[in-house]
Amino acid sequence: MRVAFVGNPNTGKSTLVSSLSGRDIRVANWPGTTVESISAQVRVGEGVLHLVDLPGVYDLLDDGPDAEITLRELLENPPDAIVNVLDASHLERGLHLTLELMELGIPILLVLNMVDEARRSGVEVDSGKLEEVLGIPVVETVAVKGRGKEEVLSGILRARVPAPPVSYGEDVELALEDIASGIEHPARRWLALALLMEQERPFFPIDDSLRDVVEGWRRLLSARYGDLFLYIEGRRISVAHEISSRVVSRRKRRRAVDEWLDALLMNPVAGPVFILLFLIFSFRFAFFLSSPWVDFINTVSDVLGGWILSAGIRGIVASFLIEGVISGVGTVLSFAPVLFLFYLVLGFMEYSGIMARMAFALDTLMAAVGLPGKAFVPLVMGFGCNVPAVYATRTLESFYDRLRVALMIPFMGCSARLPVLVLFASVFFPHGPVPVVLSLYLLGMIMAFITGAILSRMLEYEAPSLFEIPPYRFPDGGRLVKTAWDRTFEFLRGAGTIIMAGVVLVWLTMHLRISGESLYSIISRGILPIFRPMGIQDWRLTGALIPGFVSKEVIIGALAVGFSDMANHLPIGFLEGIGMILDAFARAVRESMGAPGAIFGIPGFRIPPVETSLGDYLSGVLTPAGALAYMVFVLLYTPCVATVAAIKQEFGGRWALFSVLYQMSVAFILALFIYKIAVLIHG
Amino acid sequence: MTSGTLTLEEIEEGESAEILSIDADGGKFRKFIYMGLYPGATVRVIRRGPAGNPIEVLVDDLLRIAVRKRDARMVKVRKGS
Repeated sequence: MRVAFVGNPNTGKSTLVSSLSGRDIRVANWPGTTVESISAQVRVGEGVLHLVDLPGVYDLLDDGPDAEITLRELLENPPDAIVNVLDASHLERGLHLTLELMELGIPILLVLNMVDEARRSGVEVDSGKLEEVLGIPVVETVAVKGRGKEEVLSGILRARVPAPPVSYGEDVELALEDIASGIEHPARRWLALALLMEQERPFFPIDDSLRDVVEGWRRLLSARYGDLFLYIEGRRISVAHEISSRVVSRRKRRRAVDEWLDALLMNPVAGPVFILLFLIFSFRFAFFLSSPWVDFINTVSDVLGGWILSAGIRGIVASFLIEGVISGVGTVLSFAPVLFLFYLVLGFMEYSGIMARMAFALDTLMAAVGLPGKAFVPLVMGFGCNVPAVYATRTLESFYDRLRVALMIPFMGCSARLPVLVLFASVFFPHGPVPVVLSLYLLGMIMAFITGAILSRMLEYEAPSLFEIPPYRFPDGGRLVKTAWDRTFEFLRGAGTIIMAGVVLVWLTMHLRISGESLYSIISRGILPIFRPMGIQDWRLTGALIPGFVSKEVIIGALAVGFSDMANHLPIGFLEGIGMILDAFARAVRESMGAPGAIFGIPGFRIPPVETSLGDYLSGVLTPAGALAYMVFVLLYTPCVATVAAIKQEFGGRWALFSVLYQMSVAFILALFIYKIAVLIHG
Repeated sequence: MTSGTLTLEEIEEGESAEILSIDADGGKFRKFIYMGLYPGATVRVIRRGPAGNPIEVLVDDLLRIAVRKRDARMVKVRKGS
């Protein structure tokens, strides 16, 4: 028996599905789209329920891919039952969809989720009365606490095809009957309604004779009711409103602390200042707490490499194992602490209600590029690491907003690019490296905003930007940790293979030889002519860009030692290795303890001493103007492989490819432009 | 504009109004409805954000919704409730 879970966004559908099924969740990609849906199986008695979690929608006829996936699934592959999940605090909003789902001719169970929270904010829903009014089973749950699971499972078995909940008037009903008689589908009443509303969908074609019937009725009925879309919508709205006023009772209650916090965070002047400080400190916290664990993972990879060497493995095999496999797995894993902590911070902001205040304080700024205020959060997160920032776009409701922000994010200079920029700035601009680096970051931000503005023109998407300002809540720590871990795990599984492939591909270019010359040097020399106009004349500079695709900080290493030099890997004995790992672990624990203090330190960057040989080499092959062009190119040329994987996971391969090509072109044009200007000014 | 009819944008902080109609169609119209801003609802303007944007309104004494000035112009209201 297939059971589809349908409901508004953020009603806890996925939480309910995972709590029903234990941990047995499979993530499936829907063909032709990128929005993921989860399916799981659960045993009830001797039968098996196949649970399908569909993307959150407000209305089956909404624009955008979320509604399309949900509608397609319900029409093309009708489930045996629908579980319609509603947020008990927002019954009326949810009922609008319920009334629509009840027209589909599929047995339906209504789940009132988050009843505890509704009660706390003074909303009481009489579910018995609701069951009576709608004529379908209604069950109360608190999915995060696993409350009401049994009732949902038995409710599914009780679900029956409901009677149509809304009557649209005698003449419309007659039209619906007439049109529906020409449709061979269980959801014929819903389809007839959609046709009257002029909402055809390509995946449900109708023949010409039916189209004539519909046209005839449309002409007749619109003479009486005006725009039929608005009329039908309007009927559902008033029925939803009427039902909700009959079953919901409210007690008004608002705490003084809420008023006080709002007066502070939503003040037109102080608000943005507090919000910015909060963002900076919380992201610094995530960053400082994760970096000791990234170092730990790197030490473990080094030790594993050392063990391979001391086991007597040498040559191409050792190189593949160390620089391909171990380094690949290490790269994937090193994202885990970063992602986990950023997700923790993000979850806190969302759940506590602070995110809505951020959106309020920064709305004016983001409105300039046609984005909701919330979009600011993933963009700022991008300065730490682009990867969690791409996933953080999920907090936005519309697909096009998510996509636009994700394409802006790679312009935000992440922390991996910093060492490269600092190195070049201190070699070529020893008197003022800091302003140079800062202006490059500013350039990236400006490009992000230009990109956002262009995309909002192209995608022509101007939905009203309304959002709710919820009461403040104190987040449940256990739930935050679990969600953060689930999302991190999802990344490791989904993006891991792509990152591995990227690392192995780069390794191959180093080691594959064509008539005695490595692919690496062939490519580096091959692309050099494109870079000559911007003052880059040495193939080692272009070569370093190749491993830079894996992670931008690797560029320094590639310039300094020659990337495929095995000399920096030494054999390590077994016990010695264990000792190193334990040491690194102790250090990571120690440094994590110090992290909460470090976040209050003065932000800034330390300029490490540059190895003289590297400095001499660089100033030998580049002029300051060429160095500037190279820095611009490195800052912008491509999202790193993990970011590309994240974009692919969220939006599909085509948009990931678009992002890479777009960044490339912008990087190239800007680097060339800045080189020419620098040459003009300084000769 | 006829006398007595204003848009939500013109309501001062602390004042209440009743929604008469919403000048939007299809998906745009629905977006207002989801947020509880349907004709007949009572709204009170709580505060405005930086540069007057967005406007925080209390809908039917229950939900707090932020509305951009641009969108508030589509909401026709009558002062008082």
